[in-house]
Amino acid sequence: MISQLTGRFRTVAIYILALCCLPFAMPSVPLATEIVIMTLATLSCHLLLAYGPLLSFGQGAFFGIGAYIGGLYALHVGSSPFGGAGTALLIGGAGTAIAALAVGMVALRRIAGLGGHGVGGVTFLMLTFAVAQVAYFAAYNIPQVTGGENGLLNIPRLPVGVPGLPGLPLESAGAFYLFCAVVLGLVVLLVDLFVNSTVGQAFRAIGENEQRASAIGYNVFVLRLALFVMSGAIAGIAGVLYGMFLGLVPLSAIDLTQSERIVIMTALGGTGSLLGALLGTICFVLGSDLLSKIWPHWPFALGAAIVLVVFFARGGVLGLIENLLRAVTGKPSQGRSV
Amino acid sequence: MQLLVSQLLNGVGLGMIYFLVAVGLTLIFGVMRFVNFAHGVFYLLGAYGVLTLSEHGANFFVAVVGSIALVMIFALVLERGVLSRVYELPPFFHILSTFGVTLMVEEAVRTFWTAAPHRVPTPPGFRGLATLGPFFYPNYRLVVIAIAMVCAVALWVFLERTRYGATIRAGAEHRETVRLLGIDVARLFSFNFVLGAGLAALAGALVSPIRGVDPNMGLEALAIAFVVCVVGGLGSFRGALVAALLVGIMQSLATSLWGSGASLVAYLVMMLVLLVKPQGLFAGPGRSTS
Amino acid sequence: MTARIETSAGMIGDGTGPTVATLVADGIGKSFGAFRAVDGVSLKIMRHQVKAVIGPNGAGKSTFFSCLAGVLQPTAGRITYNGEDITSLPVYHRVQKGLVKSFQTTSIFQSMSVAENVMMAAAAVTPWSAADFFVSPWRKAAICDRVEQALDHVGLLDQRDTVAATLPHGDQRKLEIGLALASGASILLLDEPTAGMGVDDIKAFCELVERLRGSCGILLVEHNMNIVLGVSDRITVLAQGRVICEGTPDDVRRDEAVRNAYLGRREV
Repeated sequence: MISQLTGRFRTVAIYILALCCLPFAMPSVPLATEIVIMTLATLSCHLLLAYGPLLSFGQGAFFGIGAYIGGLYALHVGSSPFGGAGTALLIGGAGTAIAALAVGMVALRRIAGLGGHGVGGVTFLMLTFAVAQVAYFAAYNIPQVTGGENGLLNIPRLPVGVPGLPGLPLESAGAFYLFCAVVLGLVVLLVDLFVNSTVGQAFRAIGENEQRASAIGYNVFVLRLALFVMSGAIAGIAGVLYGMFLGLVPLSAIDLTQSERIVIMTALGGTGSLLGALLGTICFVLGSDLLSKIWPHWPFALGAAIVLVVFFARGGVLGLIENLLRAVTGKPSQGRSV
Repeated sequence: MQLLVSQLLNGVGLGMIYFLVAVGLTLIFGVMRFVNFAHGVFYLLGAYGVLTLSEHGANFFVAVVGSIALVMIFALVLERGVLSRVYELPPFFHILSTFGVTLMVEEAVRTFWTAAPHRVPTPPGFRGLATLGPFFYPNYRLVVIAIAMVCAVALWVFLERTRYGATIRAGAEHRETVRLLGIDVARLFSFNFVLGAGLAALAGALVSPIRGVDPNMGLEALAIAFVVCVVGGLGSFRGALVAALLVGIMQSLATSLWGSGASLVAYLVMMLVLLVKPQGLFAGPGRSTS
Repeated sequence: MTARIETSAGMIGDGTGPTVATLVADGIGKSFGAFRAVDGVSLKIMRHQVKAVIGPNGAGKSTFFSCLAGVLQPTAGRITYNGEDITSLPVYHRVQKGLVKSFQTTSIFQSMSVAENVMMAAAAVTPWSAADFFVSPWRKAAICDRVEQALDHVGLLDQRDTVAATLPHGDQRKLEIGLALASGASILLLDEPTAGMGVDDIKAFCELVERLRGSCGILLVEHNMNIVLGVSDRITVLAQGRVICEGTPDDVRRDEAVRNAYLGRREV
């Protein structure tokens, strides 16, 4: 029974294990926190890519929207009795979900996913790219709300707790890391449940044979929209945490590079399982942190790494690890690729 | 009134530049079903090529031609060496590989030319204003419009009236049939890719005296090219032309009304068009999008 | 007709409408540019009937079927289902109402097992609640029962764990029909279901049709005359997009126009 349970929740278990080890394995606790936050963002892109199958170049926009909502909330409402990190997450997530709904309704109409070689998935890609640009220009052009070029500053780190009771302070790096880790753990659990649920399984059908999925009664548009909204909300939650983490929301939280970074982490990690999001993020954050200290022109190496992934490691780091494990244990191959 | 005329002409000029960048992208996708995320790089390198060659004393127009030639060679090497191996993979990997290339090239540009913007002087002899009846308009910008229009016409003639052009259009509609007809598809793809790159490089080269050069211009161009392709319909020459002019003119007119928000106009236009026609204005023939 | 059987499993053919499901195609036309693939075809099928649509190649049978299923939009005419105009209703919606088509070229989920394939179809039409966002479909009795039933009907119970891509062609055709059954069809549109099937499988198919008779309406496009003449209550014959004959198997067998259409003799 235990082995069945851990088998079923193996991915979640590994996540929890990793989250426990991360602050000790990484050079600093803040770096570990950054990894946790960005893993959430990467997870949002991963979900869309693995199940849509849709590649979104706009998750950075939702990340930024979440960051701004969370920041504004903390600045204006935070000190009131209703203020709290948990509420900030809820509001940030909900607000971003609404934005994602609006975008999805336009971007997902009558398109096919990336599985087919048709026009649809490409159009979606270009649209999300445009969304990322729009979000950036919008944030730049309404400094009264977003602080424009300067961003939102002096964001207090709200305590977390139940309204009415005094909350737990999150000022210390360790406490905040724990908070972020708990959020990530919960999200991963929910996503894992969803992916294996009746609704989640529908995406297997859609990804494999979209026409047939329609023909057996799935409303592909609505399902994709739901997935897109879910992804947007997750990215938004990551954004809220980011604002709390930095104590400010820079304009760069919502720029195109943010979306690009998220795509890179998703691709580096691999889409075979939810663990890909974690692996890709660790590789990217840790790698860029270390590499930038050695070589000022490290983005060149990053670009090269991506091209190499396309040629030699299409399953991402996850795929490489799986291959390694298979070579070592001699087990037959299984699992999906992109 | 002068302002309106200036803005309209600016819009046309802008539109024609957008067209030159977007048409390559849309043809590359239409014929090869290949999503070229690196397209902005050709625009970028076209501009920097002109910068470097002018700095070494070349006449402006010689620099333009030289820059385009160099970019086309680079595009050929890229396509033959790297990208052609990716064609058979799912579209996700087209995007990733060209994205990786973009990162590499942009960082290389930042390394060799620094991240600071540079000025490219307007070619002597084309500075100053031309008189158009009661109105004035910068000489050089008129030249840009003229060159771009000539190219557009030449491209149209090539696609519609020559056999090679017909092959490209056929390839856009039915790759397998073209292959079965014994046409060397690999050569067709290379030609198509390099042509698209050359047009984007031309755009970058022409625009360099007007906006200067900086390492971010490639990404900006790509973003606009995406908008133009989506609005015009992927794979359509006509679509690229109409959409580019539409976006260029709207954006230009908006600048006088809303300054910094003008860049959003392109995306607003896109949203509006998509709400009415999700496949774009001139979706490719025989292509279902569901 | 008895009322819908109330069990936790949706019984096949129990579409949520009235007990007598009716599909009416009225003057359906489909043109591709100047070419009229289907011209003024009318047909009515009810839940207790088994009908067939036959005709020489290029008669427009598959095009007509695609219009009924919602894959193509007719350029003329109306399609009514249980009194409701469904002419422009999207495919997935028709399936939810009980109008299901199986494909002429096998289009199943190759990487999944037989049971998983059928489960996909069953899950699509079983109403969803909030729990379905978190609970595995295999824990839902309604879905599991549907899957068992469908597999039993087409005779694939012993193959439930086989990966679909490895099935022989005949079994893939059976799975194709199994998917349609699991969708809880009240009216089943079967497009050349026995194409490429061996003799045993064809026999099994005819037995399946007999078992299903009464619980769901079946409209067949078929080339195999033995099957058509053996199972159909009535037959509609199409040629060049138009109906040239409609009647019982005997009527059709004797009809002059039908013979001309198939053998190409000009009418004097």
